[in-house]
Amino acid sequence: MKQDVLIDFKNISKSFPGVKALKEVSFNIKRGEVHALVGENGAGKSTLIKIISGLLHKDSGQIIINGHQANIKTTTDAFGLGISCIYQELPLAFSLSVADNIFLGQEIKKYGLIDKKKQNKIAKKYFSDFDVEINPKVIVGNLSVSLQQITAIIKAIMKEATLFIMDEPTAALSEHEVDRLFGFIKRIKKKNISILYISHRMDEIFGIADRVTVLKDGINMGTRIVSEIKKEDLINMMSGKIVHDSLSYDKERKIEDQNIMEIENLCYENLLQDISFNLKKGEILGITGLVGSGKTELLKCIYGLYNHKIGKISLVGNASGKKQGKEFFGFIPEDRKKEGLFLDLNIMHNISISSLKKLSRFSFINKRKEKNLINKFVKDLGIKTDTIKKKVKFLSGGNQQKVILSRWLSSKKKVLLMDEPTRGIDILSKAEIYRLMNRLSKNGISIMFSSSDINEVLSISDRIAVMRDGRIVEIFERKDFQKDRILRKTIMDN
Amino acid sequence: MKNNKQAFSGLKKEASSASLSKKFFAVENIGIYIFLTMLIIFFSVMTNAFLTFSNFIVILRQVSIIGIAAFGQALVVISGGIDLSVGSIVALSGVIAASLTNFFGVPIPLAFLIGIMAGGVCGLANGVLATKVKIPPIIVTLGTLTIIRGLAFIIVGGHTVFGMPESYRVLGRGYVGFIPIPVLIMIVFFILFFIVLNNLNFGRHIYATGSNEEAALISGLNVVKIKTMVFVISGLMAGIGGAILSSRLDSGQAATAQGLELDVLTAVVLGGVSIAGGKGRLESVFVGVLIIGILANGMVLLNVQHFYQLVIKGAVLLLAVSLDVLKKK
Repeated sequence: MKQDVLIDFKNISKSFPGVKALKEVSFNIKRGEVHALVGENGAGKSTLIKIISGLLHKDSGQIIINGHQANIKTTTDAFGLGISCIYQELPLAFSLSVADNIFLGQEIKKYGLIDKKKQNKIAKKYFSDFDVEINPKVIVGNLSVSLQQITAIIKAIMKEATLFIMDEPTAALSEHEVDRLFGFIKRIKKKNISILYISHRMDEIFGIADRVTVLKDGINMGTRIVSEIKKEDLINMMSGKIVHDSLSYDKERKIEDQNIMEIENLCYENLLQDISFNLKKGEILGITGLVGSGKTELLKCIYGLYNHKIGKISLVGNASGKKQGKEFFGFIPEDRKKEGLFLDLNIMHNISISSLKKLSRFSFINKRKEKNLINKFVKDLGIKTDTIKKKVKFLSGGNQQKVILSRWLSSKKKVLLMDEPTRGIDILSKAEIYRLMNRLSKNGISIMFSSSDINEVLSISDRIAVMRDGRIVEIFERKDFQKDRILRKTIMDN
Repeated sequence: MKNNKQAFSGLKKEASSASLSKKFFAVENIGIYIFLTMLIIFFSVMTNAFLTFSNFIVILRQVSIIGIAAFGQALVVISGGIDLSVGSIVALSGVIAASLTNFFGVPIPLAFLIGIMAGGVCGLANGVLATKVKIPPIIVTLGTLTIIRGLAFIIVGGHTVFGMPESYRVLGRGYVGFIPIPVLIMIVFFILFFIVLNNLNFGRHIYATGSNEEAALISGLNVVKIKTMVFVISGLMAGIGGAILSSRLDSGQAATAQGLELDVLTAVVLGGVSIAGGKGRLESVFVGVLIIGILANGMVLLNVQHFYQLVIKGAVLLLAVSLDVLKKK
């Protein structure tokens, strides 16, 4: 049994001033095991990963690898011990070929020159060992994200990595790519390689993990064998309370029978084709479809980021025109950090940026008015922070999303366009975002949101528009919601 | 994170001194303030001529042109750009003002104004090339740096323009009370730009654009307008610097202010403005300007040879910036 364990964490503790991030956390990872690590934002997952990978130092406790006490001081130490991290930013040279990347730093040479032929041959073999067909001469930047991840993993395996830490690896993958990655993970498991898998997505944990460890407030709530635990129990372990899915849809809401936006025959290049629909005041319209079906493009086009030549977007109670469109819509992008937030600016400046006009006179900002308004929103939406002067990069994903929501609420928009509003957010924060969406729509704000999570779309939408290949193929009313029918629609007709 | 660390280092000391030291170190870019103090103490001890009121005024006058250009440059860098063409604009503005006065009999204030406007036009060209043609600002201004310098030489045919009426010199050499006019202009612009960055919508928009351009666009800001505006402002400020320099030299010379853009950038970077954009405070930029001035002045008083001055100037930049980097660790 002892040989089974690759890495053993014993009583790991870590404090930051004012916060105990980890309290005597103990668990182990076996060889050839996919071990899921779950918990809400702020539960201590990131701290633990950083300690394992050498970015942070533990205050006390032991890490035992292969029966020996390990002293991980730097990332190089961790790498030397066979620990490799697959973050969202992959450690690859994107302008070089697959083979060049694999052999980076340990090139095969012939007469002092790189033997490309041999490198390509060996690289191809490495990949085919794991049943991945790939042309080793392809530039890495041109590969799909899942193949880039696989390349990074194979590169690390060559350097004798035995433990991979994967932090939300599927966040940027389509369903098909997730399948490919999971297939690959199953194959590397057989070679006795272990994976510490961090994800918010329950389906993935139940699909790929062998065991799961739950962290809450820095405490290990328990390690369970995945096949022996139910989803609800796991969620309860994470949150410490019961979350009902059904809570999300608010039946009390009344949608006014008044259109706020009418779209006719909207086309944009080959991304959007002949799209027509109406949005009612106070309605929540969910859009679902596969990656590449045009969900994001539709939202961006309505918001005015794309210049569509064909079709008409009419805004009711507002003469049609681009400038007025800006007053009308708030847009919440899928990639919060890249397109939504000013990470180096504080919470106050992040929220007020779109309502400065209202907060200023002769373009002078009334700072007291600004502060009062922002404080109100922070309190109202429950953004967890001690001061509104905190930089947003130090907030958790859920709180960051609330900052962007506040930005549009404070500037009083009539329609919110939300692209994957709960991506990378833990379950409790998700429930809060759903509650907020309900509340907003009660106040007469219309919401259009896209999501590839079918359960999410089913639970909070009034109507669901299914997109495929740039078209809306069908719009379902709430009374007609049927999971399999909607799912099938995303792939094919009838 | 930063605050945590500070609190942490404070815990080791006594509780009362902890809050005080925390406040002290919480000042942004504290490194260069310490450095400025050290520099003043050093030169005061080394030479009697340094710590006098008149020398202080001399230093301010010497840095006034760099200072004025640096405030404009700060806006550009905070918005995520860079303007390398300011030295050439200084020269162009000067030769235009001098030529108009001398050869066309244009009234002096109008001649200066036209020179300054020419700086604004150069800035507009930089802005349009950067935002509409979408060439990276560093390349745009590297190109216009040469073009504008060339234009300045063409205008005067390579000669120095001189022999303007006496009142031409007032702008650069005059005084209001005991304060030189260039220093007064610098102080007025410091206050103006401080208000722009801290109290105006436009200032907030500049920080947001520099922090994350895509997010700024999605937040409904007119990013193209903002980025063009900062280049125009930087051009105008360099134009003002050129008018002052030309008045001070009582001539129009196309070869002046070569490499001035580097001093200006040094001041801005010393002031903790991030080259990546989105960060920086104008008061720190002013301290950066002062450091450059004090260093130059002090080394002259100590009779340091020019070649050594160059080495020391560069080393000081690295040292002062590393103080801040060390503090963050």
